[in-house]
Amino acid sequence: MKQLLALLLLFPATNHAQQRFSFQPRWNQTVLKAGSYYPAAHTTDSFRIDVLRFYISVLQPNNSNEDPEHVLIDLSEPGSQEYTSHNNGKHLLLGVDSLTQMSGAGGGALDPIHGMYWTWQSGYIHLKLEGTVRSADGRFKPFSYHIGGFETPYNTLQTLNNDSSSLNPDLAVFFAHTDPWTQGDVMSPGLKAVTIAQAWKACFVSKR
Amino acid sequence: MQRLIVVFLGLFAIASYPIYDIVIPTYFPALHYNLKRNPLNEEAVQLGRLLFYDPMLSADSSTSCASCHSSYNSFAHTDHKLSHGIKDQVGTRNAPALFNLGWQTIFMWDGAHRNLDMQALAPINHPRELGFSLAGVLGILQGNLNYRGRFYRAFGDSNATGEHMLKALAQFQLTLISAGSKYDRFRQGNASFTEQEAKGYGLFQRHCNACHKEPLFSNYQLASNGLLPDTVLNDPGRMGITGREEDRYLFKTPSLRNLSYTFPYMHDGRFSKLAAVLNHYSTGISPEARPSLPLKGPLNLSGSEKAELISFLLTLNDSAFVFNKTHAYPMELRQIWK
Repeated sequence: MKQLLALLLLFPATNHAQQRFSFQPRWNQTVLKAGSYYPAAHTTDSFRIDVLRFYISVLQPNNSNEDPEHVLIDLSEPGSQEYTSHNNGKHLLLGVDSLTQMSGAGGGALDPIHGMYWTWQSGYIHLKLEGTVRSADGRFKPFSYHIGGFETPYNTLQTLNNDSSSLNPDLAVFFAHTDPWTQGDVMSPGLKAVTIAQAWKACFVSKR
Repeated sequence: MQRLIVVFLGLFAIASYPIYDIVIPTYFPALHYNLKRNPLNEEAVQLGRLLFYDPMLSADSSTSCASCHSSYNSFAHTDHKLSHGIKDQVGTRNAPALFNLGWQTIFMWDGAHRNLDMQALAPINHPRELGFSLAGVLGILQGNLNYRGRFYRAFGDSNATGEHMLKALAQFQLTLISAGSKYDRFRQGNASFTEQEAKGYGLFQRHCNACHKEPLFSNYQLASNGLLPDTVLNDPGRMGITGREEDRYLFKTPSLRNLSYTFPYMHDGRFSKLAAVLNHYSTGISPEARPSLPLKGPLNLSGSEKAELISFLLTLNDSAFVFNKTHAYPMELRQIWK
């Protein structure tokens, strides 16, 4: 009995529901693979993605004092694409929430060693997307999107409605909104980054 | 005897992880830095001090934070208009003095960084400063058993993570509190100003305190002080970060403490004497540099007013801070790399 009591004391009862999320990048319905070219429906171009890393913040309910959880998803690490949240948070943000941005060095997913923090100014990079576009006549152009910025007027944080546990981003949608030929490199906060962030959000909205 | 040893070791274990207590004057505002996220302890402060002075944080092991922020100059790069990093590369700005950083809301001349922890990433990565990378630094620290032991004692984890390295550097910098000047003794009722200093204090409160707000002697906000850009550097200030025209020529207001140790002055170090600075504010403000509101009209200070103002500014020198041995080069650094 004493042992049971000790166990109970060691593991206080928790009514936190666990939530499982899947953030598996796709191209239309297909699981996205790094380094392969994918054809698009809206153009004769095809697109190759080499780097795709992004943050999701799982915000706590309003009445909670606990910090948000942060997930860093990496295309090259399938294990990072499954996430079990330990809170009842219903609100997801695409990126790192502003309060955390101002709070100093973070550990784990937030450690700047992951290369997802700018060095020349404050701010986590919410989305890093790098690759190459290829035209039907064999021309190539590399693209590089490092999207972030949390201060007005160029706040790039986007809210996701967590009404599904599957939040697999569809990159075909991203390139339906973004043309790497005309806008191939966006790597600092600003108006362009806000536009790209909206295209990024659209990837989560369509065809869950 | 055995019991005595156990007791002694027990004491040692507690003593090796003491809380580091910083002393904050009662007339200072509340600390901006959130110590709850990074509670100070003696081990982490000392680790941060070692890192601050360690040239292994640079790409060619030549340059440390202290190269441009020396303790005996109130952590400024005195007598250098512009600071230089690895391979004798000259930067574009004057390295600012470091003290009372726990009250700062923005860092760097253009406010590029919003948090003390993360600010260190800028000089580590800048090609003209330490020219290195976080991964490079952590790789070197991780390979040194002495450092790993230090990380363990500071944070309970022998891994040199980015989080812990940055937090240690921040901890050391948070201990750099300058509050021992004649002005401070005056505020504490332990000193009185001369007639000249008192007049200067009055002038200061009338003309300077809006931006260089006492007792920190800065509000740590961005402003234009009516200085036209150097034609070679052509520094747009804050606009270089935001790209917004309205941010052109905005720079962070620096503190006026320790001015005798931190010359030359301004973001590009263009003035080597305080008199030149006062001449600028008195009659040199350029409307084209879009001076911020408190500087819309010239101050037109008389010669004796300038002398009074300077005599007050000199009461902000804190020699106890500058010569504080606990901030200086740590001799243990030699043991670390043995």
